[in-house]
Amino acid sequence: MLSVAVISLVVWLVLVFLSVTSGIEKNWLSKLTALNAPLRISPTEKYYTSYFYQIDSLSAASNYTVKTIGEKAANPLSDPYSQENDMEIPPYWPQADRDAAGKLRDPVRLAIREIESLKKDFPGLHFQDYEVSGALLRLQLNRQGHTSYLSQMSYLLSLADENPRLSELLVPDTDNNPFAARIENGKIVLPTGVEQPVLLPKSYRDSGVLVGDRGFLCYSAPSAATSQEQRISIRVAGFYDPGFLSLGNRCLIVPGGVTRMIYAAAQTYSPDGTPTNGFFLWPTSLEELPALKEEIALRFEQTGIGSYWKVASFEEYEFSKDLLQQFRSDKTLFTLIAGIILLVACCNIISLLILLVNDKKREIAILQSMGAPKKSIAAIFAMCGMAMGLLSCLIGSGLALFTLHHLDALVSFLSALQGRAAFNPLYFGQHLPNQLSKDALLFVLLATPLLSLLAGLIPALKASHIRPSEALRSE
Amino acid sequence: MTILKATHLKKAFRSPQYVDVLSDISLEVEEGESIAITGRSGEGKTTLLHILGTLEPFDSGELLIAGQPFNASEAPRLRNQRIGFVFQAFNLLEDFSALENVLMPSRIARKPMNRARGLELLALVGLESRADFPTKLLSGGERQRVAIARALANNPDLLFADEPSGNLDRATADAIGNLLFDLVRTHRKTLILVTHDTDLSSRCTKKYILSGGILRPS
Repeated sequence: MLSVAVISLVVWLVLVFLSVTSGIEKNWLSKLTALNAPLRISPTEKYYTSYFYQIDSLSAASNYTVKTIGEKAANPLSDPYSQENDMEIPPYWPQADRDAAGKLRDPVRLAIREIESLKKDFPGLHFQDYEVSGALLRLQLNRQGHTSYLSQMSYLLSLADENPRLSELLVPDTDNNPFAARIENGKIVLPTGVEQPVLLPKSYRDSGVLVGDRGFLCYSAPSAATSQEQRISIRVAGFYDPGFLSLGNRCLIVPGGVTRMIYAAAQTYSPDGTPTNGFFLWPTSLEELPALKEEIALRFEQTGIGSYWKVASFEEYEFSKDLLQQFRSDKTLFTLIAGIILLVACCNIISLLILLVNDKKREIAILQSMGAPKKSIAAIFAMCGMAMGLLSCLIGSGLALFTLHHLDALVSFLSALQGRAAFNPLYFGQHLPNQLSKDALLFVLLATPLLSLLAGLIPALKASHIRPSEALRSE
Repeated sequence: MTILKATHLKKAFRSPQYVDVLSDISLEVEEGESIAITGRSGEGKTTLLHILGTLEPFDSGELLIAGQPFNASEAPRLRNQRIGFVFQAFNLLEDFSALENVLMPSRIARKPMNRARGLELLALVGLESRADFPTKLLSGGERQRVAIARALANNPDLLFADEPSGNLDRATADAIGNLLFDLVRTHRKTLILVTHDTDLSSRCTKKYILSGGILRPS
């Protein structure tokens, strides 16, 4: 019974621990893929050096300004260049990529067409172009007659209203503030006004920033001789949960017009290599990702635009790659530790069954005298070990289900004991995940009986080697 | 027909010290015979019985049972189908009832558990009324009767009895002796008996004495 109790305890511990950690990981992934789509298509170096991209900087029709993907898509002219009016094309520029009919190949329109056509094979697929810029956020906080400023270099992410899950991240405004963003038909609607509405990470709210606070986004616009600081007036429209990302607390969600304005002044480069422009794609489930990614690459290749685009899933994102790798390493490590603890617990079976074999030597010899073969004797003890493992598995799983069901109460109790929150809500969320992890359950259901069976084999071997003559004689 | 033939069997124990127990044992047993093996304590009678009953391996020589040479991997099946044991210390499974003990050899042979057959065997030894009694509640004589019934369970050709009356009082020992020989006679079994009891040995068709590791007719 002691062995069963010990293994049950370990099964319970492993299941609860792995379920909670797996739940936390899922929560983080969910937030990550809600803010940044699970699939991203970004322009390659070839795109940025192409005639198609650079020609806007020479064309009067494009106001001599390079365009973002969204602007390119909205521009009816694929080739704005006029030989009569515009400057001569530098000789070192690459040749324009034209199709058989001599028409300029438009990688943006072709990409949109191909992604659009994927909706037949991947129902529920959403996509939208995005931009990332950088600016200095300066918030003016007027509180009880005093004015203070809050400054922070920030990433600006264009609001993707096609994102079906972005609204999940918005922290609800309980004050009915007229400047607050609201959710309509599952989408975030920003308020209109003189200032540009921005959504800040929820850590700003914890720092005392309120919905309706005003400020500026400052960026520099290089001119011929110098660079000038430009300002965009903003007003805080709400807060969102950025999840657990290192840059999460510095990422502002702004209307697309803001990022385009900054992009037009100076092309933005991300220090960590994150593409600052491209398409976000949201399939209905993460399971569809590999197939979707493969299909996009195939179609782009067939259309002749494959070399202009890089398709990446969230595991490859520069800002999350390390974190996700850490998740995987942690998971492997935790599973390994869980396996070792289970092994140690199952070793308890060895000592218990060896005691049993010693105790039942005479009975074993009697059975052998009646013709019981060695393998039958061994099977009795091996099955005994496995049965103990299975029983422990059932008891431990039952206890784990009960614990997970009452996890909040347990956490409250632990917090009350400690006199502070047992788990930091910023890191673990308001509630610890309490869903039983299927992977953990599968691991425990396979590993415990198997290890118990293996542990039972040692006493089984000992039992099968008992010499009946010796055991019967000793009586 | 020869049911058991042992030729030049040798057996020595090497631990804790070298003891040459059986030096040269040759024995031929015909079907239906009853053989008594006697000798002083420590001469190796039980060892010989265990070797002949395939419970103990031997060092050299040859052992044929029902014409088949001894084979360690076949020994369990042989013990189950053709050999029955009756021990001095009864050696019943104490957590089981008398009937369950009697049916155990059938269970090991994976034959269907036939309660009627078990009761029939218990009736042969006069213990039908004790069928569902836990064996630990039975008297010594009753336990030995159950052991005899169990030995007959799979209708074996050979019965090996090691001091079957050794732990019993005189009257009970006589009753057990009578029962054993009655059953051997009526069921045409071959009996190999190790005993100090001269009354029992005198009822056997052949008598041998084991001394100095050699088996001689007495």
